[in-house]
Amino acid sequence: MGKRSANGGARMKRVSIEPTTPLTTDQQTDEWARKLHVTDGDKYIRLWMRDGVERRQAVIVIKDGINLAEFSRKMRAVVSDGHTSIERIDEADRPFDPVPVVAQPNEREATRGGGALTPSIGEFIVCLFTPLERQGDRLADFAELFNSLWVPRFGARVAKLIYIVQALRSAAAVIRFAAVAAFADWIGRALGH
Amino acid sequence: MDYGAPGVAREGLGELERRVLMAIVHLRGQGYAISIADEIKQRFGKSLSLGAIYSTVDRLEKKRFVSSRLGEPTPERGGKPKRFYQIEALGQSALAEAREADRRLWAKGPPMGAPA
Repeated sequence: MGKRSANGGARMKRVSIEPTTPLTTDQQTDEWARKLHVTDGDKYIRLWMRDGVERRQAVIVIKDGINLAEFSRKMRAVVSDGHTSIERIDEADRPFDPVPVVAQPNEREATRGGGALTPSIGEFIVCLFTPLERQGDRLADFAELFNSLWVPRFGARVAKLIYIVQALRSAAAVIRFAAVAAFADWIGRALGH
Repeated sequence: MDYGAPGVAREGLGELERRVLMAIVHLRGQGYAISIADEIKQRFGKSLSLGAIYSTVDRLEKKRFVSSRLGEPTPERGGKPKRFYQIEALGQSALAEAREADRRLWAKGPPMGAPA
């Protein structure tokens, strides 16, 4: 085992790492390995994974010594979860050196079985103010913004909050427009046009 | 105002409708809600919610100024297609009429309070 982190192993959390579709190039993977100081003798890598303002720990266990391809596969699975940077913490004397991670939205989707990670409450709000026949493509508009703009820029958790706020803003606009149209109709009828 | 189609009620264009219609024209059949919102922000500097775009295109579609079609599904949209909007003859007439009304208004000098 490597050195114990000064951050305390008690809060260490193991995450399930499943094989996934490639997220990054081999060149990026090599760079991560170099920045994270991964060597042949490493048995595990403990990480802080940052997602916007939040962070959590993850461990990649290496049973039979480091293999770059295996490391690459596991790293891709870990960072595909919407994290914006990772930092190795099992080297107490190593200076802070976060590695920025930019995952592609469609690749992130693939890790979740092809579905966008949109918040259910936000989708509910969108559906509430959308005609049935238009719900599919309008939910997809929000999913596109969520996956291609908000998640890469702010991380998954903040993106979910933005989704809900934007859904509420859109719902308010729909109500406002409907109210104005109804008032205009009423005025039109009242004036006899 | 005659839009050239029998049985169609006379319908004018609101300011937002005109902007959305112009964005749809500029996007040449490739305009969907997000790109329309981007186009309006770029051309008019006005940021609109998707709900405002939806309400407006629904109204334009109801007036038969625009029509819509579904495109190909894309992965970043969770495998769902985009709904593309394109302008119809009635919409082009309405836009031309609005432009002509503007031209007539400005031909007699700037409206009161407007910069010369």
